[in-house]
Amino acid sequence: MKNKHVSAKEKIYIIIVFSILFGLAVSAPVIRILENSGIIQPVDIGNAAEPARDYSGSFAAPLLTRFEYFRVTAENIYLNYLPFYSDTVFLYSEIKLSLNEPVIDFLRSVNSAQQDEHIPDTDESELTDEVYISSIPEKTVLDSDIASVTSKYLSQNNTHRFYSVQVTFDDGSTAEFLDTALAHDINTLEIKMKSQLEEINRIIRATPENVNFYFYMASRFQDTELFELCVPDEASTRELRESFLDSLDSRAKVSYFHIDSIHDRMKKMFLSDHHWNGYGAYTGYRDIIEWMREDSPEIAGIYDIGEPFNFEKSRFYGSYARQSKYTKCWDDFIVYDYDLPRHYSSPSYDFDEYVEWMDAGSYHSPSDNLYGMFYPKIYRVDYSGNETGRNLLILGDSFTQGFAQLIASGFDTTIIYYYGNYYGLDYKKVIEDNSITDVLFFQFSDRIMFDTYNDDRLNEIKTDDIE
Amino acid sequence: MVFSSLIFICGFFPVFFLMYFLLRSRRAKNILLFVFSVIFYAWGEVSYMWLLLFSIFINWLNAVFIDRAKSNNRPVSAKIILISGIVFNLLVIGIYKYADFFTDMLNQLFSLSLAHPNLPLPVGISFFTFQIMSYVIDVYRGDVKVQKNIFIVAVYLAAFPQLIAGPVVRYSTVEDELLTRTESLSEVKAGLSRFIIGLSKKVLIANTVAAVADVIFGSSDNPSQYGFFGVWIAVISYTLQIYYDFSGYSDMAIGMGKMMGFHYLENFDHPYSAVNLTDFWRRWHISLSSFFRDYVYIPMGGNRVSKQRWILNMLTVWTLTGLWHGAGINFVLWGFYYGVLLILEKFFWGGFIKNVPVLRKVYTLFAVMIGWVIFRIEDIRDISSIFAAMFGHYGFWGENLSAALIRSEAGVFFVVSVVAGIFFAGEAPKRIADWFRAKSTDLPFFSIIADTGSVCLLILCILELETGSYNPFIYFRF
Repeated sequence: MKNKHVSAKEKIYIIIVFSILFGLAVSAPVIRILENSGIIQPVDIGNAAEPARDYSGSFAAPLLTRFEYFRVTAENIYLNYLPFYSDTVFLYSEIKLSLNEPVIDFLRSVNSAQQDEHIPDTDESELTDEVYISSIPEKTVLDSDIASVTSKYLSQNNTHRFYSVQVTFDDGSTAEFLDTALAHDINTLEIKMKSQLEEINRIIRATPENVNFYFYMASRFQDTELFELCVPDEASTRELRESFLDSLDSRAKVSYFHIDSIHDRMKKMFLSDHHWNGYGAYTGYRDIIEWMREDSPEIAGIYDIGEPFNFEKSRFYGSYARQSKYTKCWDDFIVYDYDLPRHYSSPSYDFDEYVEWMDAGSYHSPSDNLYGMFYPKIYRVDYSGNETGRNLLILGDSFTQGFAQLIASGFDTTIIYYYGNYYGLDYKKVIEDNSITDVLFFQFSDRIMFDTYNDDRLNEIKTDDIE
Repeated sequence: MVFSSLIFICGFFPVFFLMYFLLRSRRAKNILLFVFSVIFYAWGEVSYMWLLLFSIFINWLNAVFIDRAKSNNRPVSAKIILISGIVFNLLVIGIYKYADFFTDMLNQLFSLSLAHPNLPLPVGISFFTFQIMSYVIDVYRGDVKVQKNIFIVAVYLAAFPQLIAGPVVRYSTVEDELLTRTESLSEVKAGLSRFIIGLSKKVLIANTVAAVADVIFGSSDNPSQYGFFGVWIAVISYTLQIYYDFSGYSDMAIGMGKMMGFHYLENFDHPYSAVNLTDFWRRWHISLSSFFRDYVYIPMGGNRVSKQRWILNMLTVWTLTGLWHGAGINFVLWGFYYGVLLILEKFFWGGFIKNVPVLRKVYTLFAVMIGWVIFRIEDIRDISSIFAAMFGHYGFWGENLSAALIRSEAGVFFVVSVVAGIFFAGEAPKRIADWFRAKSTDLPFFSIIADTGSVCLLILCILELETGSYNPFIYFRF
């Protein structure tokens, strides 16, 4: 290369720019290698590359498949292992949000002037358990009436729009939670729903006649009419949910996790995450077991709610906070210690050990997924002392992680498949091999109704063709 | 893969250029360029790599046969081979890009029920097909010597800087450089700078204003909810988006080419400073408009024909230009719109507005923005309601405008992007840059400011790419 008459400034410029780019180019794969070697444990960003395309059966399939593997690997590395990615993203987003705020506030004030203020009905919760509500330290029970609710738009990605909902109580105190609206238009949602129904009904019809099939949907706040009161700019998906549940094969018994009020939303779900919290998982467990016992009274009875434990040194920034990069709303992470009978799980799980381990640390980063850390995937639970004669198969997702041992306490053996490992699942064989008496299909609504992330995982569950 | 992606900026770009500058021989550099270009193309859809390679082979062969026929004094054979080559290329683009469109047209015109082929669109097909056609035609015309080395033709066509989104590079532009180019540090620096400017245009301006344009145009069937102000915000946003998106991509292509020793021609020349529509099309997507001028308009007779024939030529060329942009009736309408306006400008008001400086720029910008509305709206039935909103039929501030602007994060960043976009679209920055350059020789401080600014822009773009998930590229469908 010629470099006559090139000034020092030009050389410095080239060196600086290439240092930045080359530094990023090298550091990402190095971080990945160090992670694989167990030397470091980088934050799990969770970005996903476009999935590998399937070229089996096409010309030069081995070459194309290998190339696809290389592409997905490379994209995953540069989407998830750039140095300081998480901290950079959250800091930059906060700066942007702060800078954008004056104009957004002006637009919000114009928008509010054009909308009515909505005051929702007060809570009539059936359960009177005293519940510790995270992030509202002065309250131990949500008993105050709600004076007003407002919402502000935060951001959006390909699948969701994120909102912060501010609740003002009669006594003047306030609370905040995050929630989402689906970003797809109604036509897309209906098309996706149709496809999902075909797959689920295929599975229902493949279930042996002597096995009960229960379909339980983990609801989103948008599935309720309350959502429109809190976020007037968005439409509820309640009608879509009703239509979806009505279209399931009649062999299935159908129900869903109830969110009947804004108090419910804050009591049973994390304020900053899409999952149910410990209390919500307990109410879901009660719901499901009471429901199943209507058909099978031999299923073991319901246990009382356990003792709460709050990881006071940590903050839980849930999925909504992480994805919207809004860190002003977070949860205390509270778990419940149940007095369950002796059982074995695979992988083994000792509640006290997990509490001790997590309590030893202090987790404050938005990238610390406390829910996933405390509730790992459990694939099998045995309560051999139950002797109910009932064995449960759960086709679930991360919601199941929040109550695996609890729901399994009603049965002798519980086998759990999560949507991430449906691949190769031979449905009828699993039922037969494990003498399954009851199937619980239990997933989060946007994934199961609309396959929001285009996972197409139900396709991986193999059944015989049933017409 | 797109230039404005993390994998490209942080992976492909530095790895490629490191290897490129480490290699010594021209042949090795060309091999590296070709291999990386194939990887670049295959990244988006690996199976369409075969189409690209097949197109290279067929067109290379075509040019060789044309040359042989001409050498053997068989002009008729040469012409037949040329025509077969053009037909092949048009068939390729016709099948992959226009099959569904033509099927729709036939079904509507003749009340048929033909099924859509639904073939996925190979990325960049419009660009690389036109580029290779230009080579074959230039060989036939004798404007360039045939390249008998298929590998050189492959490098010419597949070079990743211009492969999927132009500019449409003529073979004559790079004929010598394919074989004997040299790289220099000063050109690497200039190319790098240009690349960063292009990246900033795309990531910082185009992507920001695109969010607003997409939200409002996404409900084009009901523009009354946004009102006059909302629709004009969307139109201005889209006007800026399409310019900065496309010119940004061209800047990146030209910059990378320069780093490798290629000197691609400019593709945009401050089009929004044009004084009339004729001038606009001399400044916008220059490589495409010159393609249509040299290979369609002039062979049809250009303006050296009767007035009626000239009008027909103009309408044909501009309709084809519209059709090139997309397989949709709105694109055809958009092209036809320009054909009509250019004719009217020539025969009626061109002379008048030439003498009224402010009016001519307002007229040009207004006409261009109206054109972009036609270009953007996919359902032409919505055009009338959009125009109605633009002229105040639905009030000034629509009931859902605030919500839409909030949703598209139209905050300070958006305002800054619009202001910067409008400022840099004019010719003032060019004058400022010339002044800077002049000052830099006397006071190096100015060049340090410029270089520091460039590095800051790069860092800002990387931050935006890391943070954002919104990264549409308008011309990707071409």
